[in-house]
Amino acid sequence: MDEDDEILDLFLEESLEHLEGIETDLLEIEKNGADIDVEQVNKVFRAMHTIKGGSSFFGLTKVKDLTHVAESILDRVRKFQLVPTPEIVQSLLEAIDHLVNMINNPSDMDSYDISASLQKIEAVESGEAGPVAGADEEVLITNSKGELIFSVKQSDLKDSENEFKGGPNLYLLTYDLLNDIERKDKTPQEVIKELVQLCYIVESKVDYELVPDLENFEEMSLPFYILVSTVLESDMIFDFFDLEHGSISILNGDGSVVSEVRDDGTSGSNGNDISLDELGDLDAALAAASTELGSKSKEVKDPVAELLGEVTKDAQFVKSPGSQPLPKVVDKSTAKQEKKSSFKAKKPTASENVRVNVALLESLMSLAGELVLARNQLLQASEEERIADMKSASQQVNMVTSQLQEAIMKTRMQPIGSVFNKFNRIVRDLCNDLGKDVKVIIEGESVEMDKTIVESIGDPLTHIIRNSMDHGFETPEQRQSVGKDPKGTLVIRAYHEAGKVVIEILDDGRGVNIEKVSEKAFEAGIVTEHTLEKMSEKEIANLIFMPGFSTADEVTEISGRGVGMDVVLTNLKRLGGTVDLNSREGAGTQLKISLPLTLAIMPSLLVSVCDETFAVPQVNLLQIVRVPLNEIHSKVQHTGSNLVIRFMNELIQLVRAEDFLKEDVEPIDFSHKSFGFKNHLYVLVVAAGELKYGIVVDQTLDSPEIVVKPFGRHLKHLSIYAGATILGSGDIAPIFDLLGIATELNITQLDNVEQEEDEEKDIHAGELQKLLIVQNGNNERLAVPLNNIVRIERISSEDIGSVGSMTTYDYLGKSIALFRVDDVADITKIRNEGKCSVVVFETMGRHLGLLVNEVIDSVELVVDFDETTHKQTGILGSAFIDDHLVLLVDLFGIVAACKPEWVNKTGVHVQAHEQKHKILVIDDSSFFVNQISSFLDEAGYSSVQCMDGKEALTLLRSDPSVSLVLSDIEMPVMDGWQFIEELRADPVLKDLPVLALTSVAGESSREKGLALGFNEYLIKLDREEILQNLKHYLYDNATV
Amino acid sequence: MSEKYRSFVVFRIKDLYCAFDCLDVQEIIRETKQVKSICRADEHIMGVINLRGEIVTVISLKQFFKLKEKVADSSIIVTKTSKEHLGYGVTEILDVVEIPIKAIESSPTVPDGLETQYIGGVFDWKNELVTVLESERLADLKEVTA
Repeated sequence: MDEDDEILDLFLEESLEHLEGIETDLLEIEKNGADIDVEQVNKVFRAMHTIKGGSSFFGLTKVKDLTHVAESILDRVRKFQLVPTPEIVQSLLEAIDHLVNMINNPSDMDSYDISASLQKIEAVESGEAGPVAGADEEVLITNSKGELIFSVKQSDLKDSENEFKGGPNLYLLTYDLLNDIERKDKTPQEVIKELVQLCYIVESKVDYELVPDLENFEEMSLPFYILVSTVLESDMIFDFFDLEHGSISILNGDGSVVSEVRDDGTSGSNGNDISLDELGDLDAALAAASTELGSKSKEVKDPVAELLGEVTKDAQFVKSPGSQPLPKVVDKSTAKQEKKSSFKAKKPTASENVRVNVALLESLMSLAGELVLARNQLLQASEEERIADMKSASQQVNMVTSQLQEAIMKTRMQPIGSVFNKFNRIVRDLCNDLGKDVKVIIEGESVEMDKTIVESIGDPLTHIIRNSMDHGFETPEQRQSVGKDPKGTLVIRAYHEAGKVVIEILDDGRGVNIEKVSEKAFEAGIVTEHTLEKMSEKEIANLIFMPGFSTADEVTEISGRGVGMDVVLTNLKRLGGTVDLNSREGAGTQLKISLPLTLAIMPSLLVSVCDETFAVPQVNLLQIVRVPLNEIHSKVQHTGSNLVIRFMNELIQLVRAEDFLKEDVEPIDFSHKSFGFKNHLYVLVVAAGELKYGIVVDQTLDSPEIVVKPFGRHLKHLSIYAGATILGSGDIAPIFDLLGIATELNITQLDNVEQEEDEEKDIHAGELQKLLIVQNGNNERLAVPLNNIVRIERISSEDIGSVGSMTTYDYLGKSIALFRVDDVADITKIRNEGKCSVVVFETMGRHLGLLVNEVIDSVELVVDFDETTHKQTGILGSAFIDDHLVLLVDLFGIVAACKPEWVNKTGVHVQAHEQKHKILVIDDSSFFVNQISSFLDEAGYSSVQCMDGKEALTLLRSDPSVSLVLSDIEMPVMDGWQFIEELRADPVLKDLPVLALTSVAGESSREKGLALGFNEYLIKLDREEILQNLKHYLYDNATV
Repeated sequence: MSEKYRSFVVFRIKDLYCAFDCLDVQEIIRETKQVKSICRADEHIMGVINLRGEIVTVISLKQFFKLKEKVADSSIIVTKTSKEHLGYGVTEILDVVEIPIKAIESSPTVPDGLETQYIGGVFDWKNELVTVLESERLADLKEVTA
């Protein structure tokens, strides 16, 4: 039965292939309507016919029945007797669905219920049969005595002409199984084989009624009628068929007998129809198969023999004396049933096969040959220790291997069209269900991707398309009312881009409803109101990928259960893909998915943790950051029990590889300045889906391309690994599964946390400040804003020189002036002996130094400065940091107090004759508002203050006298980003110069600021720069 | 080989004598150096080996039978199961023997730490009672206990 199984598999696989193509063709046929492309219908017809032939051979009755009715409909369609209405195509499509299901589960085929589909098709067929002209008539084929032998459809007779080996001539052959076949020492299979070579068998049967009893043994005959169609002319057929004249009736096209050469002597009445249809169908299958593949037809022929053997056996059985009961049709079908049951145990292997282009196979063969050659060279050279030859041979091996790898990868590549094509059908069905009208445009079906990806991308894409159909497209009426083409367009497109495959799904529907999404996301508790306010439209649109999100007001069959896009996203991420959603309300949605070409081989980074090697997929890797030991305390922070690090203006959680690799790790030492780390850190910044986090590893090694191998079942449950790989050395390195690790450690997006923290900070009117904490004297701590600082130098007191009353220090070959806070402020005097530090800062266009005793720390924290108690010249205010009172140093103030002449030189002050401008200062921190306002006053400006962007907009709209705005970025209610956007959109205010003031500087936020419309992006408390810019914007510009 | 005999690989886990049917054994690796331990794997998993490009899990029988004493495994027996290859770390490999089927008796008692479902009988070898282990079942049950 092994051989049979193989043939069955082959048949199933082939059938699926046929069915795959049929669907698209049927849709095309439906579209064309009455304007039939005969070739296309023929193609579907032929496919159905082939499946029918094969299925009846294997005894798959249900498949046979279905294909049979489908075939007859198609037949009438191609003869223009039936117009393929949507109902007809629908019934055919349903039949195909059933077929696909049955073929995919051959073992459950018996339990499969096709009666509904059968009825439907039959109803379609009979319902249409009447009115259509030239309906198919039954042709009655009689033998010369006028006995009815066959009842054949007119169309079948006509078609037989076009079949393989068929022709215009019809003959009714009457073999006598006993006389013509047995007694001539022939076997029935030989006869049938001969026939198949010569003609197309339309119908055949054995007349069991005529089996004689024992007495008339000599006279008996067992007629075997075969209706054939052939190109052979009547004068030749006798030679070929080896039959006596009279056993062949030449028939007209309408079935009537033209000539009769011999009375065959049989006197029986109507035959007891033994169902040899199967034989006929078998031949059809044979014919179809042999046209396709010569070798295959041979395989099929053997079962022909088997089948015929049964017939012979039956005949012999009849012959033997004493036997009464006749072998019945049922017997044979039971035999088939048994045969079929043996298929049951085996699952179809159709999906396990890959079709490989022969040319590709050839190239693989020749590469394999080359590899063997290179190996021999290598072996020989190494045996004889010829180093140079070994080198060249290994070079050769290297080259051939890469080529071989590439060629083998190609065998795994499959066109994405196999996935895309089913969308035609899905969209069509959904259009019917939802009452929408959408046309599908598919592009780039030939783009090839790895088999595994092609196979797993179907479901996510289907989901996206269902969503788009349900939510995206409007009904034709709605479309018309907004002036769109009532027919929507859905474009599904695949193309290569930067070594990846991009799949784009574009619809021209209503787009993502931002308001609705925000509302629903808020209701579902996915985001807070505060977060929503800060989000851009695109960010909001992307909320649809969040777990638990659904905009549908009610749950429909198609979508709306809120399990969906997040699953889609997760699945795509698992394949190493990314998703980008762009949407314009009213105009449509674009979903861009980019996927790697293959998963089997991937670039990786090897890292070492605790002396063991692990591989990290490079797709997930964003950046490797090295943090020197002495910077750990400034770069790494902690929230609760988690470490965090700032990456591209985003706080991400930091985990140690040991945290998920070892069971008993030492807890993080939060009291320690470097959190217990003893060496510099290598941080892998990785992205697992939307989630970014950092992993601390001991060492980064190589970055090879690796082959992913799965773990055995005892290790499969370890979610932190995606498998393992074998390194060049033969060693094994487990591969990190970054999504699994995130789940394992419960790492969640820090974004929201961060924003909530910001919120808290806002309430305290504080702001993240970067400060350098220094010490003067024994216990007094001072804070210097880090943004002004250029460099810190550790010097000994001997390095300090003096010029007149001024102390100086040699900095980079230049002498710079040194100042002390105690020069101007009433604080503890600096100790003058031993080591001290110079904080080099820049103001008024020159480098200056601040002398302090010791640099303690640099901190980035939220502080609430008290600007009253300790305020004095050179001191802006005070705050408690780490339980110490810290005085905030006013660098500008110190210099201005010591060297008032320098201040005037810079010319930032408003001259008396100039107009006095009104400046609006927006900042939520009253400390900064007061600071800035006071130096604005000093410089000759007047100022007004606001606490947030919203308030500022209201004020600006009512007070046109404001000539410039200084705005903070981080503010409650409306932040600086939103403020500037709204301001630039306001027709009256759009030209107002606005300078951003911030304590958190960074190139990216600076760029963002300038892009949004800030004229300048300045550091708070850099008094001089602010003043210079004011002057520039208010006076210089005015004169230009 | 006559049908009346079965071949066994006899080995020792500490002082417990056990055997696998030769038909279940793919090969024997007489060292354990190349076993790469896997972080976070279950205790009885020694690690994985690279068996000609296939990654094969190695189970320490000593650990599995909860024999805690410190005896190093010296060899790995790689067995074939219906799903994959699976390696077992054992203390020492002793012999390959042919045992008449008649001489294989059902186990009268269960050795410490072992459970009946893994045992396919016992036979006598050089005056030691050898327990036949059913490698397939051993592999399957591991999944449950894991």
